[in-house]
Amino acid sequence: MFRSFLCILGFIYLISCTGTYEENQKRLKELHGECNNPSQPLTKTQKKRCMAKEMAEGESLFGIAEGNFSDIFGRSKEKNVIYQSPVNSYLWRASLEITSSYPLKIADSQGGYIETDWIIDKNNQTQRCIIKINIFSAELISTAVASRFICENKSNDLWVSDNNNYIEEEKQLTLKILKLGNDLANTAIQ
Amino acid sequence: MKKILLTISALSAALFSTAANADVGVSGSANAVFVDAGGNSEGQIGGAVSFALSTVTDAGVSITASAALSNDTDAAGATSAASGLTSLTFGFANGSLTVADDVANPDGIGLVGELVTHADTNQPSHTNDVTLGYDDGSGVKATTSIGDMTLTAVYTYDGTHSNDIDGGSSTGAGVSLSMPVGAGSFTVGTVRTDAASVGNTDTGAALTMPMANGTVSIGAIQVKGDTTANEGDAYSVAYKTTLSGASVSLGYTTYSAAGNNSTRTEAVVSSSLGGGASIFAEYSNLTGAGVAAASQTTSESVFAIGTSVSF
Repeated sequence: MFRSFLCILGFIYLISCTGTYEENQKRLKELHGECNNPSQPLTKTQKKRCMAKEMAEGESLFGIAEGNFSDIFGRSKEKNVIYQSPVNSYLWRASLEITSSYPLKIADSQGGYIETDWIIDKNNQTQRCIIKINIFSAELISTAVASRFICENKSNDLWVSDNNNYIEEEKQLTLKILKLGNDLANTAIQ
Repeated sequence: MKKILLTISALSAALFSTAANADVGVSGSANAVFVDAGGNSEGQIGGAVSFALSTVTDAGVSITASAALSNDTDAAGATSAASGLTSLTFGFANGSLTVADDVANPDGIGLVGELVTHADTNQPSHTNDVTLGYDDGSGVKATTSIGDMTLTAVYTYDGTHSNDIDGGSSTGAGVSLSMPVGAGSFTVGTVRTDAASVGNTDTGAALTMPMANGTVSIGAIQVKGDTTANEGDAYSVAYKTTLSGASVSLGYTTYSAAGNNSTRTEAVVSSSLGGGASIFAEYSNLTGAGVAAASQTTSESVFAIGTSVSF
């Protein structure tokens, strides 16, 4: 009885102290497997359930035979690659819609850049302008769009810059693009 | 494994002054196996839903319990049962303490070549199998570490699983020690059981080493006691490896008891199908003087093939 008491006391002391129990268990499980860990004997019923789980682990048979099975069934096992454009698609569509009345010289969806060709008013053919639109972000935010007007006047058969700033017009154009882009996004969500 | 997290903060705050976070994990397994013993074929369909319940006290002691709803996985027909909720395991910094109705004795350590779980169905009786009278019962198990070694001690006070602490007719006590040996491990253990005044002692040892893209295990076991038919020695060897993603295990065990010799040769091949499913095939051959003669329903050689799923 006294020896049993001493054994119990000794065990309580050992299991309460900080030690290498977790590391040892990890090492034993890696070597023997979860179901045959000699420090954790299982009953037959517990071992059966453990073996079912252990057999299910490991590299999948279909993962090994990937090449052969995909050839047979014509099903690609490659993971889907998701490409995210650096340009917000709603702002891009809005920019195209707004500039649809004018000929486009450049429309780079990857770089987010639209430039119209020279726009000439038939009633005033001594002035021409181009519109440049830059989309900087994939997110629909107010700072994602910048627009620029460049206009020239004809003087002695030469086109020269009119040296004017069109800040207000550029702001209006930017706001219009943002509003239309937002409307397109809301329509898509619904 | 699906987790259901229960937070009982409001109630616990009133009763225990701290929030208790319990964790209930649900997992399961099922299998369908075809077993053939010399023409006597049967299907074994079974499985279990297991519940793992755990919590952690303020002192950092983890407490776990488990329960299961099961249908026997290696027998024909339906043998369903609700089991579990009969053990509590307390996890400490350097070990664990389990009080349960199904504590396993650390016996049979040296029988590393006994691998199958289904292909031992409908085999003839193995009279000299060098084992103890019972393997588990109501009892206490403690595991701790001493440096790199792991020490496990078990005491079963009722081999009939009735939790009769002072009046159990079958009792047992055992201890095992595992230690690293190079890249492998060496385990030695001994168990003494007393079943209705019939006493037997099992002493075994096993060495497991990584070798040739797999692991090799060799073991030996000796049983001495009042059951003369099982009093003897057994030597066992097993090799486990992976071939093209499939797990392959081979085992061979010789038994010598009461002047009779017998051998068991086993093989298991399994491969995961992904998603927790696997297919497997098992083969077991039991032959020798310590094996009863085969009959119409039993065979020395048994083959099993089936699928197992873990949820």
